[in-house]
Amino acid sequence: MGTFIARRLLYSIPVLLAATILVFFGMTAVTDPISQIRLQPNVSQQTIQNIIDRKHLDEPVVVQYGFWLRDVFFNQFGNTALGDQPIWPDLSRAIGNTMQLVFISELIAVVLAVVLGVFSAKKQYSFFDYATTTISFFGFSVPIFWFALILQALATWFFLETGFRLFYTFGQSSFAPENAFIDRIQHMVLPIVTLSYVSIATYSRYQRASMLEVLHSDYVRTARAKGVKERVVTMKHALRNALIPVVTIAALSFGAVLGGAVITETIFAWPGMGKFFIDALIRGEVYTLMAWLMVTAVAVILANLVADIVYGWLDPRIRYD
Amino acid sequence: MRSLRTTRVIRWMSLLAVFALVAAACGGTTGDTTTTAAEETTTTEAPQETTTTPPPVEGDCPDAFCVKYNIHPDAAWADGTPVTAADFAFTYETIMNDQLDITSREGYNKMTSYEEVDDKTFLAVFGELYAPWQTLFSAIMPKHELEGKPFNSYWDDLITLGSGPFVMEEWVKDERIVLQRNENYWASEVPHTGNPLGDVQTLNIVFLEDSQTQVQALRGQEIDMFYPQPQVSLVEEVDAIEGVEWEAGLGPVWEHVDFNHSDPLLSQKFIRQAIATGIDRDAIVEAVVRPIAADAQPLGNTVWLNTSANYEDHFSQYAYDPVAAEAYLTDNGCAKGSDGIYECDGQRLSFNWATTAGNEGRELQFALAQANLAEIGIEVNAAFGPAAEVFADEFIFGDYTVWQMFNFAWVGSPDPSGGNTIYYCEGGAPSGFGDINVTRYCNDEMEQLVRATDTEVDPAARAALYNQADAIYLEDVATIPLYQKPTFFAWNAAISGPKDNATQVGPFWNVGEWTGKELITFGADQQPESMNTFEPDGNLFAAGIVATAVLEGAYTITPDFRYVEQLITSAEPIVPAGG
Repeated sequence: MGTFIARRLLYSIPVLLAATILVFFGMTAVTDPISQIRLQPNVSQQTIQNIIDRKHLDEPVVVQYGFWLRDVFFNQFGNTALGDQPIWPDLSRAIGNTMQLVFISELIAVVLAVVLGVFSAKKQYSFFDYATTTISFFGFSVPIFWFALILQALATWFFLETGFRLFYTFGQSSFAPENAFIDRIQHMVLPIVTLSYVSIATYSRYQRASMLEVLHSDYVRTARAKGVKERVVTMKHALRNALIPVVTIAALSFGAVLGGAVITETIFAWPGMGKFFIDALIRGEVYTLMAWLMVTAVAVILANLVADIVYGWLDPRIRYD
Repeated sequence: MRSLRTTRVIRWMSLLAVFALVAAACGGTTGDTTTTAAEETTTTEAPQETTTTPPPVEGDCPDAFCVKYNIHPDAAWADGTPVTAADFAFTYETIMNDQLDITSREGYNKMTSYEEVDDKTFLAVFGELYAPWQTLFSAIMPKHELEGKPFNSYWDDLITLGSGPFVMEEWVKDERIVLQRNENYWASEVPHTGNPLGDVQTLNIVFLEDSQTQVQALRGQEIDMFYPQPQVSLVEEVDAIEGVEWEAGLGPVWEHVDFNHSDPLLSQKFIRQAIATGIDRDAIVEAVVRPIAADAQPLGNTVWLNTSANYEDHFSQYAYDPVAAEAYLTDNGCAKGSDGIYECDGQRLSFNWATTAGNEGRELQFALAQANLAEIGIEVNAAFGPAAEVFADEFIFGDYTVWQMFNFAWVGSPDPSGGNTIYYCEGGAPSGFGDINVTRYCNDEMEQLVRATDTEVDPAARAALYNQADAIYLEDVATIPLYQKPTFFAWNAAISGPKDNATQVGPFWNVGEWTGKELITFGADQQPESMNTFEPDGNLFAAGIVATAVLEGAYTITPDFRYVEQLITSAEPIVPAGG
């Protein structure tokens, strides 16, 4: 297992290097780090020159890439262009904020989706199955921004009707709250529900399809023929194998969502990776955007690695060689 | 045994997906979202700058021009230390330190020296007459607090000391900026309004970008006020909320359509005249601006905006007239092709129209103009792009092969000197034209007039010079001015005192006199990167309003575009005796 992980991490190095090339040359081809300041009336040419010197913008692009690469690996992504501010403190905070949302929402989504998927498969064509299918399709069809806005409207309506603040519609915390923990929960519920709902809709469909396939496979029939209890057949023999597709999709989603649930974070003003990305985009902070891209690429690679490890745990036939 | 090859493929696909996500997001980036809205309780401000600039007097001045600042005897920092001439001198020295990333040194770079006449008198000495001297020293820095500190970073997270009615208490990154009432505030009333001080104790500035979230938060009393980019639907929604007041203003931001004068066709005046006359600018204003600011009119001057006392309409000659527009073309030998589009010298009158993508106001005005121009046989095609792309040097300073017509807005200020380089032929722009002359239009006579405004210290004569220059600029149809953009400010009706200030000073211009709530939560659209508004990354709205509440300057700007004294009792422009 250790060798496998080490080998996979080594394989990731060329992938990451390729990502740096894509990110840097892609971004520099379409944006200009100092365009935001140059168009301000009467901007100081000396200040522009200071930025050009600091970021080596008058050097060939390949040389700029070299300096940027050095910053990425040895200087925590370096500093912003306009303000010469270190990028990593803000980025790491955004990662932490997103992790809070993503971990909880993914956990809820996976657990609920597996339960719903398994029961739907076991009770195929039952009322429960149809109801779950309908709710799932609703989850697929509803635009996430609309669902988020509806949740906000409901929370506001509840407050205006009752005078009691059950959930907040934006941000992470209130000013001087009486109980910081409860206050944080009140702020997290709506974005978590938004993120979870769409994931549950997706994962539960995968889980149902996968479970149905496994339940009709020969080895499950054999287990039943041997007199193994149905509960054991379902939970031990069938579910374990049926989890593999869900693990794949959940791992990929996790990596992508870690890169930022852009819409959810923007609507709920949650200062995570998605909002970090949008803010950097609006400010035209090219180096911040590139740092975001690199972190997202790493997250996707790591999520895949975790998925591979979980495959082996779920299905011993998968060998790490 | 199961191969992991599939997983590797998935990994690559997911990486590609990440880049696709980024590309999609880049494509949808915001420009400044515009306007369109409903009117109603709106009290559209009509700023009329009254000339308060004192005329220069002859006196003791060691160089061509001086300004003597008489600092208010009571003016003091929040720690009780008096504001002195040394603070003015320190502010000048800091701004002129070329090792620091100061955004603009304009005006200060015209100073040749200064003198601390006494503790409360500062003399700024200029090597030439400098008319927009009131724009200088708009925020004074505390010498005893900042001296010896690394200015490029020291105020990035916290403005540690100011002289304003509030002090900055903390910036909890990602959550809020908290300002508290300055208990040691030096003035017994708000110096620039004369009104009594208010009772608001805490300002809690939070960050929420989405306009729907802002409206919902205002409705649910999670925020008390916000200052969004006005849009029709948003204004209507806010208007429907009980217990909320709002006000629209017309600020110094003006929308226009530039011609790229390097284009062989657009360099011909009659074609520009045909386009200008062929666009119904009043219909554009009706659709995009009047729903918010009912009094808005098409703009006819690129220096003095409609709400200025110095405004003269220099574009009325190009009022919408499709018959006259076609006549410009036919009189110059152009003929309609089989597709209904005119050809001049064998070249089809088809142009690309660049602007920021995702900006509903700009997309609407493009659609209106496109329809107008199609009627007179001129084709314009949308060439929209994300703000980061169209405002990149390679694009905006590009020649006609990059863009031919470009719709965007200039952010001005009550004193128009900041925009002078729009009219200059030479400067620091990558194209080789004036620093921000993106049109590549040159006219020596006009440029000399604009340059003369820098040294004309008589306000009336200076306004006349600008108007002469603008008359040439617009008679030549160097650009098509569209309209003055509106601003929008909404607040909880329990608060008394808020009043929109559409200038760069912003809605906190009179925050010291607000009353009605101890704690006010303000919803700002974006968290700043730095609090230091002197630096390029400190120019976001949230940093600006904090600076307005915490720092003070020699002058501030009122909603009616007047420069009024804040930290000083008066300032005297001086020319040497006999000079």
